[in-house]
Amino acid sequence: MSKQFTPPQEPATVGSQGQVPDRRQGPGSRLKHAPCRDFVYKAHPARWGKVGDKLLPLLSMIRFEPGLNGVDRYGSPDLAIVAAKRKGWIIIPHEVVPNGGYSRQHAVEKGSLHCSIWEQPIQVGGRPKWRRDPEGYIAFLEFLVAEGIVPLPEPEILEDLEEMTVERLRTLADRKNPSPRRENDARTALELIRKAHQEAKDRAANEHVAYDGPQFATPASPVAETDDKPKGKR
Amino acid sequence: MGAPANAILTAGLGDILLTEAAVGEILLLLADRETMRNDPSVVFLGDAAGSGSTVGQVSIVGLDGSDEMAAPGEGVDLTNTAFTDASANVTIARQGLRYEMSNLSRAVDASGVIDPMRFARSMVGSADMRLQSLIAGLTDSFATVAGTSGINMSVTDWYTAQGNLVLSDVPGPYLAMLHGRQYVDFQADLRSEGGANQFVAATAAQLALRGPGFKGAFNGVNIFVSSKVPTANAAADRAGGMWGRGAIGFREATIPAAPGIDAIFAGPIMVAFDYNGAGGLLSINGEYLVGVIEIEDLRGTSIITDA
Repeated sequence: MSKQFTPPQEPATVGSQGQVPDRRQGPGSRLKHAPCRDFVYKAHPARWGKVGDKLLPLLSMIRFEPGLNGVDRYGSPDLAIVAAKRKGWIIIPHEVVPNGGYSRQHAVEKGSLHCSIWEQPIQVGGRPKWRRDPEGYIAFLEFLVAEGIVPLPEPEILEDLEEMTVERLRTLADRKNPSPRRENDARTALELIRKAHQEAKDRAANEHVAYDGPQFATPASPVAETDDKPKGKR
Repeated sequence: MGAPANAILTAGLGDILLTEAAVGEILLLLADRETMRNDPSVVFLGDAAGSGSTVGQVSIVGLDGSDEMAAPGEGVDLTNTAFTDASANVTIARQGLRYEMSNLSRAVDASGVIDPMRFARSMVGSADMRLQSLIAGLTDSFATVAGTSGINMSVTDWYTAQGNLVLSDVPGPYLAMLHGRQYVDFQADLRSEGGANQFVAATAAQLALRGPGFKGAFNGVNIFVSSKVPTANAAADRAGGMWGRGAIGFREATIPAAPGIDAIFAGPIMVAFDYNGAGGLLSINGEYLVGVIEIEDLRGTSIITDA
């Protein structure tokens, strides 16, 4: 018996179970924030200021944007990190925050946005906004200082900061239209800085190797007054 | 009373009238188009084309008064003074943007916008904005800081920033790059300041020369506003900056032309066209090789104030 050709059995009706569409992918629904690359935080011994109601390091960051401040064409920050270290910056490694470090990647309309775990890009009525966790960030800064990752400020830095804040307070007080909120803030900052300054001076006094030579001496004879003008000019 | 019978009304002309017709005016989407490319406070560090490396070294030398003469006394031999020099490395990298349009979209376009040459011209603005973003990426990198986290920018912060530069012997011209929020707060504070007001608003001629982000000058310092100024302190603040010439520089590389490339060269910007016959797609590829660098840290100060 010859083999009979059997056409494939196709159902008369075809259909699909379908799936719930990813409606978040539609135009206008993605976050409109500008994309930006990942980063590492850096701290500088001279960058301290009032954050919240505490005196804390003012961190900056090295963004891994190719072409930015030494970041190479592959996005490697090695050269940028070396250059920053030479200028006195301390690099804060991601390892200080478990479970992936202190940055997160978010999908936005035109790529990926990287920001800290204490920021969250959101969109309200089509407008890009940020939801923040300032307490979490302050706790992070306090941790960096407590663990010695960012050293405590030197008294000389705090002295400059104190002078700057005193001047700020004086300028605010001299204003034709006073600004109580700014004045209060500057006063609080000054208290924080003065307290930290005293602590820093105490620390420095303990660490400083004091000059242990003879203190003061009275000259054997008074300094003679000399007249070195040429005779003709006297 | 209704319309008379058989009157020709638009309601009955669905086969003739378009649902929508494009108006003659095409508007640019709201965006930051500020560029500081030609501002004298940003140093152009040359063209890297043919230099042999993507990394350029900017030499900083201690001459012309950097070392002061001493008084060795008559007959006393002079001793050698160590020559002070330093350097900063500027790394250039590829920046690019690509658009793609189908033959169908070009064919039916009635607005004249879906035109590859229009997109090619637009690449110049896109390259400028990339440079602007990179420059803005440096405003938070200065070790010296003015302003207070969480507090609106004030005239006092301005004077502090300017004072920081003066204390570091930074020569002018000075320039401030602020976020819009900082500028608005600064303006609000300026209104409540007593005494002489040193704010000079930008004139139409200056705007034409410097672009829409130029806002004028205060106390002799030019002010630019850019939305690209970064956030600081976990987005609680914005970190603008003020600097003098020599703080920030940029380097570019001109892309050499080659046979077989269908491209337009506009200075350092190359726009190449690719045609995909299988898909009927034309792509417009803009490319710009550039890098920015903070040359000398003390020549600038960050201004960190409430966002």
